[in-house]
Amino acid sequence: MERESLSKVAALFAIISSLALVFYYSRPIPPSGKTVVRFLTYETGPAQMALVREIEKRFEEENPDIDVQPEFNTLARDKIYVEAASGTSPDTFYVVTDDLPKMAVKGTIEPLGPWFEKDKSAALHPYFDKVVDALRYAPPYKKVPIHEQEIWAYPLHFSTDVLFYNRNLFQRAGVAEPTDDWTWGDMVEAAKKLTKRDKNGRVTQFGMFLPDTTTTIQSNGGDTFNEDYSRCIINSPESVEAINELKRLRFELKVAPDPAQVQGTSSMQMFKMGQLAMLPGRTYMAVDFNKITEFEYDVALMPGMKKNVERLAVGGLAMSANLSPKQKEAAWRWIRFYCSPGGGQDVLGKEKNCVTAVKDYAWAPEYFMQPPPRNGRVFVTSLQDSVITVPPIVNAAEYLNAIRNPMFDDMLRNRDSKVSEMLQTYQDRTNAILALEPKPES
Amino acid sequence: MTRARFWKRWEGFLFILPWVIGFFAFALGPLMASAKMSLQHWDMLSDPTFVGLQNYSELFADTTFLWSLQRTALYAVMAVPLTMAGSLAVAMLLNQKVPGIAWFRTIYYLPSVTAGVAMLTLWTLLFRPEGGPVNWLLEYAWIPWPKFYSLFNVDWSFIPLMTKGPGWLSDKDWALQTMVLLSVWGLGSGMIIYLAGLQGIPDHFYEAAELDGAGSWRKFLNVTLPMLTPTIFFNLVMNTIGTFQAFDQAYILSGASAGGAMGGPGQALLLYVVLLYHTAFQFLKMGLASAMAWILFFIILALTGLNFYIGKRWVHYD
Repeated sequence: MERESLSKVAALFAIISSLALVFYYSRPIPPSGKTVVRFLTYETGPAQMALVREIEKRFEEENPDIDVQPEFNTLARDKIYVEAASGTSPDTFYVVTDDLPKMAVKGTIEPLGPWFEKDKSAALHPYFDKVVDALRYAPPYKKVPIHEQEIWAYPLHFSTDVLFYNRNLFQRAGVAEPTDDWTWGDMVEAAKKLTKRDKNGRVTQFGMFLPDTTTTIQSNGGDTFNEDYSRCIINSPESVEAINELKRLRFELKVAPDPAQVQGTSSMQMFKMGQLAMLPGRTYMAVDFNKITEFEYDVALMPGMKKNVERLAVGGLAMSANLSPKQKEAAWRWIRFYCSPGGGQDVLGKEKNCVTAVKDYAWAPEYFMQPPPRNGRVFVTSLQDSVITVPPIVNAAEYLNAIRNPMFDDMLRNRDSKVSEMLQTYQDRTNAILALEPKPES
Repeated sequence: MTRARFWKRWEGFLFILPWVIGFFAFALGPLMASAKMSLQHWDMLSDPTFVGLQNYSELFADTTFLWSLQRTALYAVMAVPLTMAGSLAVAMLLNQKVPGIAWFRTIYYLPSVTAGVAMLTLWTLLFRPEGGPVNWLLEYAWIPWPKFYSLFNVDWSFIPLMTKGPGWLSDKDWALQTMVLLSVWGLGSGMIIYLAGLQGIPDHFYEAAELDGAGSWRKFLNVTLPMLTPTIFFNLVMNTIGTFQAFDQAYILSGASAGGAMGGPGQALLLYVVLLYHTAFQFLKMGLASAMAWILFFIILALTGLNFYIGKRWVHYD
């Protein structure tokens, strides 16, 4: 009996030990003599992962002394912070503008200015200035002009808000398609004509989806922050007017779906199903929309209330500040190759999920401008009126997740919401967060 | 001591050894570290600074924290009794000696072993306010009735659901209740424990009750319930702990996993652990998040202690 029990315990230990050994030896072991560069990216789609692998292969052919080890993780942002806390942050990683201030202030990422100065084969002039500027950061209280601020990531790509529209629905309703000089009023009028109801008055096809709230406020002359981001100034008549206009589209004109009508689906899904005539959306959506066979879609500039303001998101590659000089050199070569014309930029254009930050490539007819959509040039021209809506503050994530997103959601969810009162709360809470930002040293 | 007795004494310890090793290697360290972190300000990127009990005092002055505590308590108050009553009722049904009972038991237990995220996504579709099957059924089976009653010139719209199916997960007044309904869907694990408890009740108790002229209801009240009190108590303790730690349901149903606003409509689904997750991994306030974890631990400890204290009066172990 005892022997039987003992053999069970022994078997259990044998299994656990074997598993531990399997896990230990399944780690990637670099070929001897090579410098390993870990690369963490959000990309997890098979097509995107294949492109990253292709860039890795090309890079390693040109740089046989370096072994790049890509890691694909949709929660890459969380992983970076957790690994940084444990002193094992990835050597290079994909970052978006939102995270740069915190990482820069805390010394998590390497400033790239000195590397650009030192390396004559690297230059910023092939890239859109606005995209490069989005990757710069200096604490706002220092009031450093944007072009003199430090650059923290190698420019890779960007996306803006544009107006996707279903050409077939426009033609069927006899509505003229959007043009570059379309106004907010034109868009609303078109949305009214494109909204269809069944005999019970239930909407079967919506004219449009609500655009981004922050940029709608800005397009109406309002703003969220003052110039040096020391104060939130969102509670203004312009902001109230803009939010009430969005509520009008949703609850009065009923040309845009309310949250109940979107539950269990998404704006992209509704557009693909032909239930939405116009969708203010991001460039990456084009990858999915290009697979639509039931109708033809196109894109136009997104009109603003008084002026055009589009939302801009910029991505780049950063390198960890905690690397040895040898590893830093290898990491720099990798991110330079990945983001440069002739390197990774040649490969990434195959999947048009974002517009390349390289000017010549963005305009090349055989590259990003190749239809569909027919009017793809607006992906680039919209850059002119675009703004970064995430403030360059260290606590940006808390501002976005605890204040901006839930409060805008609340304001637009209810027909009777008291916008001005809610904006005052928004303003007070945001100012409390701004009070925690780094201050000038006394 | 003979060799056989020596091994007999130690074999139990050997069996629990993997768990003990796991506890010391993976749980005790983080536990102690989180206690220390709860007394620090730490953003994961720079060195932590000692702040004493400041994190705790900050939390009790924070309206979002208090809101999440309130929502979690409300969720527990609704979900625990409903789930327990539901699982007991199903267990009673599945304790019958009828053909194919094994199949029924499997079917009712199945939701407990299916992937949570997939099921929740499916429920989100079923509960779609516009065009979702639940509201469709309501519309055709229930809502036309007010039209009939309106013949009597009565406005029935003051009764919920009499005029329009609700925005189950998009309406801040319905979202938490919908989540409670969905928690009943996963009653399989409680049900299996009740079933084991029911099968442990000796038949002669029922036979004696029948001889005394007890009917089904009397047998349930005077035999089944008293004999089942240890099982009910176990389920009560485990369910209370589970509801206070609820995360994935609220996180997915609020749409936060798909980029939606934190806590869903009106932050109705901002349960305690959801806020804890955001505080730790979105706002990078590890000290505050650790303090939240410890407060939750003490709340659960107090509730479990209370359960045990009250349990002495109604749980029968003989």
